Amino acid sequence: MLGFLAKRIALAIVTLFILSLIVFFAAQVLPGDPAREVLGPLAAKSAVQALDKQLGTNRPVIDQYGTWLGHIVTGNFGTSTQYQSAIGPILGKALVNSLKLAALAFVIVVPLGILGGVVAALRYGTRVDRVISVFGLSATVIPEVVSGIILIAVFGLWLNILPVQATGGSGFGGTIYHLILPAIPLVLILFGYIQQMARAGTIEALNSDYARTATLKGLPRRTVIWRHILRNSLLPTITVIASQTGYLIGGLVLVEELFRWNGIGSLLYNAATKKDFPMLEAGVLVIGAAYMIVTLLADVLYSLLNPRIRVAAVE
Amino acid sequence: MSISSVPVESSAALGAAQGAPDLRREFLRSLVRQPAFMVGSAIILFWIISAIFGSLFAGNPYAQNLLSINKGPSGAHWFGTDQLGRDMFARVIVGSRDVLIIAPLATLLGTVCGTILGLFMGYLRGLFDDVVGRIVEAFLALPLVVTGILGVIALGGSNLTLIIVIGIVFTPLIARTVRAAVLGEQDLDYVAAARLRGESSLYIMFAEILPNVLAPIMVEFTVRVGYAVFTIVTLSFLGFGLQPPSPNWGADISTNYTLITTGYWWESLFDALAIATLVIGINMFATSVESALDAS
Amino acid sequence: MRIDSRRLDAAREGRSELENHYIDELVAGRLGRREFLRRGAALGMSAGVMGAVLSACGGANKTGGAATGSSTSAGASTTPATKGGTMKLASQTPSGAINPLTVSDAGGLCMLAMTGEFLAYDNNQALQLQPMLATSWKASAGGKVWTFKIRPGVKFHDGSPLTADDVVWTIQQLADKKNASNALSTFEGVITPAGVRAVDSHTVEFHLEAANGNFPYLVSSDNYNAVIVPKGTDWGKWQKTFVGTGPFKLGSYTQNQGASFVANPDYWGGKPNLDSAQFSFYASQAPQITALSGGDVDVIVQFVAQGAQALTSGSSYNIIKLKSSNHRELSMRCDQAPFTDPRVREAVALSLDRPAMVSALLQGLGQVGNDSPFAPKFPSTNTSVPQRVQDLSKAKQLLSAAGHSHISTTLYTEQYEEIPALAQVIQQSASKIGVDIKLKVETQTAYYGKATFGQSDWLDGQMSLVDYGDRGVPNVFLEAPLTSGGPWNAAHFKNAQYDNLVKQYVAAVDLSTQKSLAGKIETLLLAQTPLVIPYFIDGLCATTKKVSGVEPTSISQIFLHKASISA
Repeated sequence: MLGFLAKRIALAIVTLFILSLIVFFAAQVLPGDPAREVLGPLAAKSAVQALDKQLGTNRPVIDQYGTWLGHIVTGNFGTSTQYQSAIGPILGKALVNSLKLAALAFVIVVPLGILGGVVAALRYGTRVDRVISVFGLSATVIPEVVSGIILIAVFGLWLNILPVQATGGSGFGGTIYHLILPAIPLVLILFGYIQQMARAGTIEALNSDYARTATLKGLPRRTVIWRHILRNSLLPTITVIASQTGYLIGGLVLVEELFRWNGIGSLLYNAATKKDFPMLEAGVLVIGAAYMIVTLLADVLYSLLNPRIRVAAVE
Repeated sequence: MSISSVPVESSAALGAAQGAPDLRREFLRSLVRQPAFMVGSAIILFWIISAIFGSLFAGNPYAQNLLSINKGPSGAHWFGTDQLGRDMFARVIVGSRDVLIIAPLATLLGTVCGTILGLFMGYLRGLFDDVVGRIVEAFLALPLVVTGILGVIALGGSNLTLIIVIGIVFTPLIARTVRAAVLGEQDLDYVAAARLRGESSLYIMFAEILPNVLAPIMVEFTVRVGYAVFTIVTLSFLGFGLQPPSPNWGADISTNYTLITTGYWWESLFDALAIATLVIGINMFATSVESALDAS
Repeated sequence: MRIDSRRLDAAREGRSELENHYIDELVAGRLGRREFLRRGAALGMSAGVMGAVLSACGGANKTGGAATGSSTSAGASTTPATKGGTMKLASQTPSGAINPLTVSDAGGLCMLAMTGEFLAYDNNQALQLQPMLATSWKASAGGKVWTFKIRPGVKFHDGSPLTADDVVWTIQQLADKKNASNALSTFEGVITPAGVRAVDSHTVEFHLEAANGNFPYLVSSDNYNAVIVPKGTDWGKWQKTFVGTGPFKLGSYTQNQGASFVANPDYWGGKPNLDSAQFSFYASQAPQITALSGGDVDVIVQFVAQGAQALTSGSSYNIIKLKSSNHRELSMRCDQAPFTDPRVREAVALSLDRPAMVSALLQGLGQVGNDSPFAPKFPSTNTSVPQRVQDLSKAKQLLSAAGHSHISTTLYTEQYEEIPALAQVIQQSASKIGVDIKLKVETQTAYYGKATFGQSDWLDGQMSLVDYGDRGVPNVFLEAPLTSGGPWNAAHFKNAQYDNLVKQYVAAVDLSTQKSLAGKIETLLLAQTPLVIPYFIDGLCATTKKVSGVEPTSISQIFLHKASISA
């Protein structure tokens, strides 16, 4: 187990390094320069040169990357060219905001998805199964913009029962109240994945020997479902939840844009458009790291819950 | 984005089942027997007809009328008018055109690149697989927005840019699926036989293995077209992509959605519904193809 | 006749060209009072407005100023202000560091003006600059040397006194080519650090590169970077302290979220009415409107008409309209066929229905433009030059006279406010006279590119549509985008006669000379049409009915010294 963990962590670090290289080289092809982004298009040429020098963005790109890498290794995210101040606190705040939204979406979608999956599996092949499955799969492909617009029009405008802006709530209850509408597009997308996985897991478990044996032994159906099937159907579900965390943390930009929420999505979007290279790199790395940590955790959890397939099945 | 993990393992083993004519007939029969397939096809067909002939029956999506802006739905304008007094019905109907051109082409690009990459990774394994595998993994950890923004900013907003960007986003995803399928084929007799005959690696990959992994690739393709629409809408909404004044669902939503709170909901809601129907239609089509492959 | 120009200006807000023309005539004594009332009524001016105008001119009716309704200067309120309280304001998120040297965006410059002050104050509601940190100024040597008297007894927020040294140091820093100074785009060619000299502890002299009749505007609140800071300030760290001389001091500032400011009890102009001002930052406009209607904020510092119908229709809010020189310029490459022929450029200009554009794109909250940067708001603008109106048949004639039946070209522009919509309107209008325009709407970064010739769609595009923010005087608009050596000359317009006229205009110190030169420049630009300026956009600020005394400017600053909020 330990060896497996060490190998996975080493691989993750290599991947993160490659990720930083990709972003770094991609960022070089962006037009414009950081100083002009700060000073505006009408700024004098001499001012732009002076600021580029001050920010260090006039140095050869390899130099800049080296400096940045040196900082990262010591845990320092460096300085944003756009805000001319340390990246850490700005990024931290945005990350916390995004996590709030993601957490709410998860709290709603995980029980719903598993319930939908189990119900569909128990009614396998019936109309109930088909309706839930078609709904789930369809919801998966509807862009957040689309569901968001429909939600705003219906709940914010016509029924006028939910706030259409994520910001503005104070306190725990107020924050959640304002985050309900923004969370729903995420819930819709995730529901299909989790429901499908839970359904597949349940069907497999229902057909398994031990479920059949348990039923033959005369255990009540409800007990069989709760004790055996649910636990086994949870396994693939955990994996899919983990793989979607990457999406949740990284793909929030649309929801954040639509519902005005200062999260990591809008921060990355601004960094890319403002050519704030240190901020962009830091943001992408944090998301990448989060994605890998969660995937790793899911794998560990998976093998702990299901000792039969430990480690071997993971890679 | 959410594109990363569509369950495809069910189709991975289907490769061998294809080819025989009676199987093909069985496949088609089970396809048309599914209501989801008929509904999905009808929706897709509707939008294809709209894309080609839309301006004939829906009117001119470009004609401005500055004296009649932001008007709600009425007999003259079923879906109302936008900020320049253009007919939203015409814009929604004709707006399918660019999406229907870009989505399949982008998916095709991603599928071709991903298949080639996946074949090499799965067949060569070893160092090549390790190195490329890491790069693929890194791309998968990269949020779609970042890839999209970098690509579009670098290449400028156009249909071609969207095709390339979406192709790049899809390549690692499809490569991963194809690699898995190829790994499953590796140990089968026909590959060993070809090796013994002394065939070149390229021949084995493209002439022997590829036909046998076509089924999962095709399923992957149909599913991805839906996500391509998803991605086009997302990028257009963020202001990257198609040029005005051409009617475009994502861009129109992006221009008009701030007006929802003013009460002008029709300027973005109908675009949203159009996108929803198209992606659901494609999805129904894709899932019924997948389950028909399963069944046959 | 004693004229109260402040009340007159208030009454002028929102008046049409013709209405303002009659007011001009009345002020000049060419129109009798009775005749004014008759013509005004014929135009549909309300009795209240006309009463306000007449009382401003005669000084007879003391309450007349209040009759102009919601669009009047809130600062002119006569009721005693409520003391105390916190005002909550919504503003655009500053796009970067709050560094007086580098700030270039609306949100950032609004922050600068919260604690910082300028030598002079252009509050957009008076015709003339008001004293601020300078008590008076005068020109000598034909406008080549300007002497400013610095206000005595002013203290910075860190306790140190304001002296001429601080002023000299600040302006020298801003004018220094070695610095990353955003003000260089204004100061370059006007003044160098060596030209800024302290005469005594409270007198500063500016020795200019060339005569400039409007120099005080360049060190006023119009030049938003020019807040006076203590000598030796570390620019990069300024955002930690916001040390200035203003009526408010920094409470706290949080990137991307908001800022709070508290009253400065030692302010030279007296302690402000408010105890504090609380800013929330917003990335876009729609949520600011929602916040105002939901009672989360009391003021939206600046908004644009597009998408703000919830505010501008109805009377639930006070809308402060500010005449502004904020405008859009459509340039046509004068050095590239087919636009080498002025007739072709004029034809494009004639294809536009400007009043319809103002009403559709700006909800009527703007002024029709006449293809020159002389906005109606500038005192020097010569209104006797005839307004260009849509004339499709003349446009077609001009095109065929120039030997064209059909033209294909590309228009480059940026994603910014209503500009993409404007580009589409231009495209549709031009198509009516056989000019086929392909649009390239780009992100601002891509559009501006390196902002130098050869590396910028903005400057290189055959047609290019760009935004210019409000300025207190037209100098920058006349020079950079239009003179032969101008760095923003996207039209590639080169005309020696024009260059000469502008040089004379910039140097002219008195208004009547400026006005007569303006007339010549306007006429020349109409004949040549290197660019089309379809409209000027009013500055807009919205407050709840509880708010009074706020003084917004059309570049999104807001001065709150006299502001108050009732419970």
